[in-house]
Amino acid sequence: MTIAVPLTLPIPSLFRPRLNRGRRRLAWYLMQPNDAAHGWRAKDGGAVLTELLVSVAGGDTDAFAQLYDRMAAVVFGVIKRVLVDPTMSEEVAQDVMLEVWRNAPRFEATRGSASAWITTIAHRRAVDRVRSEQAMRDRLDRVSAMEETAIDDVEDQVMRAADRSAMSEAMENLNGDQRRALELAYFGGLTQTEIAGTLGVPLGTVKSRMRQGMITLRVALEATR
Amino acid sequence: MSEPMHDLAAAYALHALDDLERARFEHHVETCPECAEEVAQMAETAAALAATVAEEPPAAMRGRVLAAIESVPQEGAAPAPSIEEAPAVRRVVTPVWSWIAVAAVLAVAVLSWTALRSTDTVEDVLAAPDAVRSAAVATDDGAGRFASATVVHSAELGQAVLIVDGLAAVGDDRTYEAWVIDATSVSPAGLFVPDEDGAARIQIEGTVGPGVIVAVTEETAGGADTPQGAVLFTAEVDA
Repeated sequence: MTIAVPLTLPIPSLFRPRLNRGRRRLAWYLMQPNDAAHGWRAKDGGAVLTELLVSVAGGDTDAFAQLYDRMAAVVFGVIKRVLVDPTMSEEVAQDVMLEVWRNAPRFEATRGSASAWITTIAHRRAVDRVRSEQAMRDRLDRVSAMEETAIDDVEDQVMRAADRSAMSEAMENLNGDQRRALELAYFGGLTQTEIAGTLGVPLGTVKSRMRQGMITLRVALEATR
Repeated sequence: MSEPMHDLAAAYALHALDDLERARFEHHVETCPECAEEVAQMAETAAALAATVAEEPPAAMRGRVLAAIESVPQEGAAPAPSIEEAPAVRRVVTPVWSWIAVAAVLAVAVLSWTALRSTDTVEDVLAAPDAVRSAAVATDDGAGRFASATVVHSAELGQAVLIVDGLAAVGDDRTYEAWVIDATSVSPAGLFVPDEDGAARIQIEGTVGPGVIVAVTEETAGGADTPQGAVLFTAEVDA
């Protein structure tokens, strides 16, 4: 599938020294034992969330209410970012929260954080929904529309969150090509093959941009914790 | 392997793989702790990415959800599948990386909820609410072929589908044949030839249930009544 969409993907030269530093840091990071790589997981509210989810697994409805208060905004936010439609997003978010309740006994804290477990479910369901919806409508329309609005939207998001979120800043600092690939995948719900078609670049390039983008974000995130 | 799988962890965590790619990668992850680890880390990063777009849902949703859980039962711990030994083929028990399994189960559940209008049997099985996916384990046949395959089974529909990827082409006088193997018999389950990408999706003929093994061999065109070629891979249908 090829979608003709005009794109400008500037790679400002001022990013290059930063990227080189990032690569060296990445090499170091990837050589660290798992414990070092995971160190940040247990910090912040992660431990609290995990405790709550474990309680939820035991049928604790009060714990679920607390879990809801901590995670509903992320669940709804990421779903709405993918689906756009607020009503559909609410419907899916509600299903996801019920899924969290139902499947909480299957959560294993040793496999990852509670927030990642919940967010994965939310995003998966949003992506499945958008792909099925787009099969019924004209999916390409939506992609084109996203191409026109995504940058403004993301910059708006980044501006609002800049001082509060290290992740937003890391996203802002990302290589433009990598950020674009991540946006189309994570917020656009496209497959890697569709992204390659949309951007007019080889699939291998898309894989590489997503992977390096994610790792760069991870390293940036790690650096702030 | 026809392509390195190690570079797909990011795409997997971003949900940027299509169904076939995902099944193939999940198969790979079961035997690749490095990839499993990388997926876990990518999922953490994706969660942080999601947090940047957090937005309060409508207030009324909270009351609805909290009321609903009162009547929604929770899943028990996943029961260990009961499996009878199948004499003809080495039974392969793959370690289930349950975190991925949960995602896969959810994916199938969502698929089922969005693809109800399909009339195709293959699609029906893939979309069935009770569909269970079982990854296949490849056998090295000495020819360097490596296929990934998944069996999707719906007990309610009484049907199963074999999804194959990365299978080598066969000559005009050859075919692939699927087999259903239970404790007492080995039955032909259908002939197929993969497309140019080595992919195929076929409905499995015969009775398939938990513990049954689906196997694939290469045979002469027209197929055989009992397997003549070496088993290329096997999948055990999960409960």
